[in-house]
Amino acid sequence: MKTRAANSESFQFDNKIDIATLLASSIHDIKNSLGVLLHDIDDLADASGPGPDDPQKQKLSRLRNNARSISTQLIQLLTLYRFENGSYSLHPSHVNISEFLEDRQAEKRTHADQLNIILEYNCAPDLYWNMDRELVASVINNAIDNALRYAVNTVRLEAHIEDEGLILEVIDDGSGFSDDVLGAVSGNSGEIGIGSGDTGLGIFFSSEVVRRHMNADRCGHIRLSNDGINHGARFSVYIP
Amino acid sequence: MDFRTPLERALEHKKVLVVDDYLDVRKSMRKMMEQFGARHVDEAANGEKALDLMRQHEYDIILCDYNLGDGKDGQQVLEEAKLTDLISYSCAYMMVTAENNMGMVMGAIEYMPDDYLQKPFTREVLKPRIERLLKKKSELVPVSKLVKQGDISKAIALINELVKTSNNVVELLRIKTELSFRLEAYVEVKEFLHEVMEKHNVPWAKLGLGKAHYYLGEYDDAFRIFLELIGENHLYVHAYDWLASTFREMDRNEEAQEVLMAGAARSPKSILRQRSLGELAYENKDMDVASKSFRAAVSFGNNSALRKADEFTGLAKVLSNMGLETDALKVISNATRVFKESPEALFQTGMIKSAIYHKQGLKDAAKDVLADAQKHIQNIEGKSMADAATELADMCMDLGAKDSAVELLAQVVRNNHEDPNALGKVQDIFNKVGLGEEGERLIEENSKQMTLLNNKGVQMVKDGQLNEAVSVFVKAAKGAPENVTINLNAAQSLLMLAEQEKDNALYLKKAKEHLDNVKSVGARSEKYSKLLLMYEGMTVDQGNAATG
Repeated sequence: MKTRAANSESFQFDNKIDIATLLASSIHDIKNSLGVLLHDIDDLADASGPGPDDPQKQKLSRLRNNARSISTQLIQLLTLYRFENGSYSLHPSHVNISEFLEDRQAEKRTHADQLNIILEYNCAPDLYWNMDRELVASVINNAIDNALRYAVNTVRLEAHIEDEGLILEVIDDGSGFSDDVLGAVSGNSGEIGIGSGDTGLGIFFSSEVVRRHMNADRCGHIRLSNDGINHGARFSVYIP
Repeated sequence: MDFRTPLERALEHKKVLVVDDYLDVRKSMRKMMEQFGARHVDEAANGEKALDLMRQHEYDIILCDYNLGDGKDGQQVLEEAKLTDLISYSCAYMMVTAENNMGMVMGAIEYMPDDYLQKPFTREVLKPRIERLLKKKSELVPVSKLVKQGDISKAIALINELVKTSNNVVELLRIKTELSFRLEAYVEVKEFLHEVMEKHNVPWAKLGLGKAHYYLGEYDDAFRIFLELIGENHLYVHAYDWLASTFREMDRNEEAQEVLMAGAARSPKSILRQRSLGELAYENKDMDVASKSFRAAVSFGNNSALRKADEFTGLAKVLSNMGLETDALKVISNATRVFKESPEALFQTGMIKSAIYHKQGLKDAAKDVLADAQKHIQNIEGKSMADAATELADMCMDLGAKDSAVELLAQVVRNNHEDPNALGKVQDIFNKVGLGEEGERLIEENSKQMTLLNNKGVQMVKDGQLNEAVSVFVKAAKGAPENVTINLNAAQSLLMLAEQEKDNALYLKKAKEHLDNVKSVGARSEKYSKLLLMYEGMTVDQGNAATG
């Protein structure tokens, strides 16, 4: 299952096609195509008409958002599938959390600017923690996307140590989580039900990633609450 | 007015290299960098081309995909680039990956890239990473220059200044640690790392502390630290490697093997680790583990600059041990092909091949192969000459070529007349074949001869008879070109002569030759360093005199 030499080898088809093998050799191609696609769309969006009210620009903006949404969900599904069939294990590294939050802010800045929302972060500069940087980044990015949807003025990213674990939080000043969502998450990993729409996949993905971060006998978990800014939403991840 | 952003200004004069085997992706990455403001962007479609370009230009930023089709992967490109000094401390190497599963866990690999980037990524993701890398690296440009010039102490001094105001203190401290190890300043490093550990929670500092203890021979302390590190993070594979080495020094070879096996289980794709494990298992007579590990090392070595003949010869020895001589010879034949440019490897493989023929009773063939292998010793640089010669003599004894063996061993004694280790090994060989007494006599005669010559020369120097002293030392060195004491004395008396004479170019040249002899044996003592400085001082003066 190593290199993408699929083109030069012939597949041995048993009675059923080995999806896992196909998946492994396709992932590289899919991600390459996605990368080029997203970049080309960005370029088109840049080159389009002047004002934000220009219909062409709006179309391209929608195109860009949808392409990104597809890309994100596809990657989440791929990861979940690989978790399921055991072909993926976490790859923790020693991460500087301040830089981590800074990167999230930089990645989402344009999105936040479009919505006129301030995206800020708060973290001690010399805080390091062991975690799978890429996966946790997806989790936080997902939470930021959600927060941006409901925030009024501000979304803030925070990190600190508590209970011998790392707490990463995304808080906003919107109207908070609905009771349905709070109920679905119920504060425990593995109890998360998938709701409708893409919020379901995102939260399920997040909980799978977080609970796989383990240290001794403790698991990571997610907590949702409404004590964000002015009773806004607080999305909190605990990594032991 | 300059309307450019800071990033555009920073990137304008930077050299960028983009490496990916997909044309579209390459073009996309190039375009992104150009949109950020880069003006010099090169592309490569595979590892070899990338390295070629690196040999021609010094890049500031390298974006390299991990998957590059057939041939070297992104990690192997990084390894070779670092090994052959194609990229400096101030170069930012970013590994682009489609998958997060490259065994890069917690420093499981020898050389780490500066950052990782997962596909697919947009401009928004790439931009802050590039900005951060550039900021961090810009500080390192002067440090990198000093290191390239070999001014390690100055580089460290500069770092000490930079940390006072830098935003990137931890990385600076890490480089300082690396450089201090290069200077072998272990006591200072220990102190320094204790300070670092008080303020920053970084595993490399603790690992460094363990290493410093190890190099100082404080094995109990080293052992405790590496064990703690593993306890704190069971995936920190470097800690396993060092713990295993510590066990070896404490003569606890079986525990060392267990630890290395645990490390290899967590990170199997490391050639170095598999090779060490193979060697250790072989010593522990565990042929099963030894053969598996050597095979792994051979297989991962494909395309890697870290590969050596050792895993091949190791595997051949194991196979021969298991009675599989034909397979062993196949492995040797492979190795000869792979390493045809390396005299060391050809010597090594020749020796094993000869021994195997001997084991198969093919004495004539064995002799021929040995004769071939002997030719390579002259081309082998490095400190293993005494060992190589002794090994070869051992082989010769095996073959019944006693005369050649004795000749070789006598030469070893003459070259190392004050080294109890080397002399001990020579005696061992004689003992092995029941010629202990003959060995003792040979060692006594030859070492005495060298001692007498040396003392004669030293006395002449004391009596002011410099020319005669030089003559004695130089002649003695001819007969014992690897003898460190004789060569240093030859160099010293030549330099003393050079000080006295105006027309001293020839003396200086000869002195340097003797110093080089010492260097090529790998022995560098304080006396060597002093004499080298003296020589350099006099050649500078010469240079000044010539131009002045």
